[in-house]
Amino acid sequence: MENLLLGFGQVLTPAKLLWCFLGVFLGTVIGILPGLGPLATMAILLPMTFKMEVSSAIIMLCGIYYGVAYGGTATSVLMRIPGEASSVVTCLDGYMMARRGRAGAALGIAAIGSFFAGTVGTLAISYLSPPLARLVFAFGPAEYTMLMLAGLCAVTYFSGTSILRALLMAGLGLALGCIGPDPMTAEPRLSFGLVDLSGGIDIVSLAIGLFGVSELLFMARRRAEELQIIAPPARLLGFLPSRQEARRSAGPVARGTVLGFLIGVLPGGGAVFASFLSYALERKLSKRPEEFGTGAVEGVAGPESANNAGTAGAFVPLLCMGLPANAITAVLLNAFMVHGVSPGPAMIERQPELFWGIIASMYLGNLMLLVLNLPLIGLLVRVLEIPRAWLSPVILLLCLVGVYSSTGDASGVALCVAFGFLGYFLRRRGYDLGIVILAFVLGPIIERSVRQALTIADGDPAIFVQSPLALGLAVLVAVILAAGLWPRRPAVVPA
Amino acid sequence: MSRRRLLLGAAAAGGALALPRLAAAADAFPNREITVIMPTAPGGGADVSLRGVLAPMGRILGVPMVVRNIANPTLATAQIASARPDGYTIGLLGMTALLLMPRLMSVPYKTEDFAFLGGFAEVLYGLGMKAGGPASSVEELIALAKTRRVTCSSNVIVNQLAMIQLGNRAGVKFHWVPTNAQAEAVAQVAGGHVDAVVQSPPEMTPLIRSGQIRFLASACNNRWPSFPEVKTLREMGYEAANFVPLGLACPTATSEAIREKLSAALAQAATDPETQTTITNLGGWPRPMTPEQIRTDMLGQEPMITAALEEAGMRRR
Amino acid sequence: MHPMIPRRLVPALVFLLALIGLGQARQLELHSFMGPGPGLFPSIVLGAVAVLALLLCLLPALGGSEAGEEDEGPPDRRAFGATIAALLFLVPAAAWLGFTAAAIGIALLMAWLGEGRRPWSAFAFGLGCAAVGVLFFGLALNVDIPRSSFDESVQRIFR
Repeated sequence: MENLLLGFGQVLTPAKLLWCFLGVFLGTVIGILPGLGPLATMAILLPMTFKMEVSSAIIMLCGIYYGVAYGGTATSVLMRIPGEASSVVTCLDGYMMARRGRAGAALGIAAIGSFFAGTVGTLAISYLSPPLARLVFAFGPAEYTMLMLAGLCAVTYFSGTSILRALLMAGLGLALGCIGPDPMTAEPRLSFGLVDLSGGIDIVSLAIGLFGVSELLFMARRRAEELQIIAPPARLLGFLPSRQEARRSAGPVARGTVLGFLIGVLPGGGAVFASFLSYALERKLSKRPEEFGTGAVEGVAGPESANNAGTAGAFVPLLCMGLPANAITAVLLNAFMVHGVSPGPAMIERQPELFWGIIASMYLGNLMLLVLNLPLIGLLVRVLEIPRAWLSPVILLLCLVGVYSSTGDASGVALCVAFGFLGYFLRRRGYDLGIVILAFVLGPIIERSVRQALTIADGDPAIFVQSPLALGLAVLVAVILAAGLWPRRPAVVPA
Repeated sequence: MSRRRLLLGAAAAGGALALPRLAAAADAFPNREITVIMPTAPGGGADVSLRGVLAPMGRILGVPMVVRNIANPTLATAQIASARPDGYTIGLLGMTALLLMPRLMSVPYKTEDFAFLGGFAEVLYGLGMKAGGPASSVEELIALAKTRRVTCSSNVIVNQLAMIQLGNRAGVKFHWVPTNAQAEAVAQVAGGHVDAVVQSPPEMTPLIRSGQIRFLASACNNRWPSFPEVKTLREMGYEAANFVPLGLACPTATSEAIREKLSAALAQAATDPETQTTITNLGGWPRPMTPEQIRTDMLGQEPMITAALEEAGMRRR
Repeated sequence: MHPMIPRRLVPALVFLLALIGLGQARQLELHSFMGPGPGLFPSIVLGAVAVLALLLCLLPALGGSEAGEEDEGPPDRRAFGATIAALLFLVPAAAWLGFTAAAIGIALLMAWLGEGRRPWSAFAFGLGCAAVGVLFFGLALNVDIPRSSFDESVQRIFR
């Protein structure tokens, strides 16, 4: 506690507060605007922080990272454009809520859930870091393979469609993930001799294509009068979640926070994985699973909290061991190194004011984000009042900016359009596209882990059940698969 | 509709012609921003070092230097090769794209397509093992590899070249476990899943300092400035080292006058003391190189890479 | 409402794609010097996808209900056709025409041809979008957007 007070003492200066605000403000902005990612923004800002004092620099850069997780919800809810892979899930129910006139509630619950997750996550960083950090070391390739498989199976099993169709979509995502350089030898695979495909399919063009572009086609199919969106209540704060929505969200927020934080600590697809798992979990636990996909508030509250808690969790291995869990925390590591500081136990011991200052800034930053985001919601939902004739071109151009800036050339745009048609086609036939994205993200990780494990064990598959952790997860995979494939009742053919 | 589009096209072409672009001779260079293609995702050690060099370089040239990250080395390098040779698009040439990928696939560029502009740093590499593990020196590691299977993790095969050389010299084999990220390679060793690791200072230093990784030897040409007591493999008597120079290049067709301007600015920026501190802190070895130097340094490694890869069983399909 | 053919269409298509992929994957080594080779995982995945797709194709009843989204109701053909045209136009526009031409073309296709707005207001709207894209995103925020030489010269004026 006195350490935390030391941290607040460090941060409660006008200059530090300003840097913190600048960071979270930038994070919100780049979360909302397409084409700006936290990775690129932080890399561009990093040289400017060379001359800054180290804690100010880190406080600002961290603010960008956790700020993005707040802003990323907006385009998913309002336009079904996932700003990043971890907000794909929000597109499912968040967008349907918006179409039912509850856009404000969706954004509101996302912001409040994010605030709760961010604050609790920071609390967990302050008090649980050292034991959690050891979790990272417990996961070798074999354990990781089994964890990813268990997650993928669970999400497939809890999907709304039949398990065979969900498995087909998972297979499609895994296959798409195989395109590009082999994770071990960098040899191009399934690229059909095209240099454009030799680097693999960009997640942004896949996600925006399957979700954003396909929705444009659906929007055009609906006749204009069906598109009347119920305007949010005009009174002040009328956009906020209703009492009933808030009550339904409490459990999902709490569970999403715990789940997201634990998965965020582990390296790899943390936030994406956590958001999907949270969605699957909430659908399983819900008394109204049929509402999922048609605008269930739980389907926004859980994943959005998981996503933010995952961001907080990713700080644990970085601050406690100097081990970045993903590409963005790797930039933060470089930001430390540039100032001659190597994060880890030594930093916590010798420069406690730096470590606790960063922690304190996260509490304040999350508070600033809540204050910043709630009023913004009232403004953002106005977007839905724009007539389709003008909104559709804007959405398409935003997709263009997002995809082109991510892939750096037009091949990504062509792919994105192709995925748009594919997504439209599959949605018409009632396939679950979320699984495609999750399998696409996890596929390369699973493959690499499998091959790493087999390299370590000289081809002996026993390694996958050797450690207790791997064995436990393997049993979980077997149980889920058996439960899913067990014929519960003779297949019913709907008329 | 089509007429309108034609008109638009004509307007676009007219706008371009109206500007005195064609008259932009070498003495007017540069009069707009220079795009620098970087073949990795933003934020890595090499990327941040590059940005550290580009800042003073832009001040010297008087125009902004804009980094464009294309995280597919082959595609990025192909774009450098096919860029308009006017000096406004240059890029960082990586070992992977230049020397390794052509051995694995047909690439739309060859080494003659690039004119080097000079270099600014070498990347540092180190060999580490789990502290308290089965070996605590390079000799013990080699001895261990004679008795059982020894694995070594790193995120790209370029890092592994020193281990392939070391194994070839000592008559043992280190089995490469490739990882997705730099830090993951280190974590696998600290967690006891993999035996050894070859990575760079940013991801290794924190775990060396906290006593979880034992730093056995520097796996490049120089000792690490932060750990001056740890010898290089070469100093220990093993002819094995990763040698990755970082430098810029442009298409060969770029006029000599423009190339000289860029080279001079790069040379000056690479000697800037602040830039050198940045590079050192990021785990690099600041080293200004002339275009000829970096060309020899990079292309001179081709026979070694060919031999090492062939010995390891990697070949072009 | 659906005859059996569209119902089997998705699995059939996926089956075909998986076969093409398998043809490509066969050129990759199943085992390399480092153990499992680059071809192993794609072959397993594509093989499983092919089997699953074939199963669903032959026995579509196994797939359970197939309630797609927005199946009922006649579509707004004009807007739908215009959106398809705009999407197809986007690909060459991003590759060769640059952002301004893409924005104006899309606005004309979607707002004028698709929704029956006045051509000049659609054109002006496209121009406005182009200005925001080229100047705000492209110039102020330094986002990578498709640039023609026209876009570049506009940016140079405002730099």
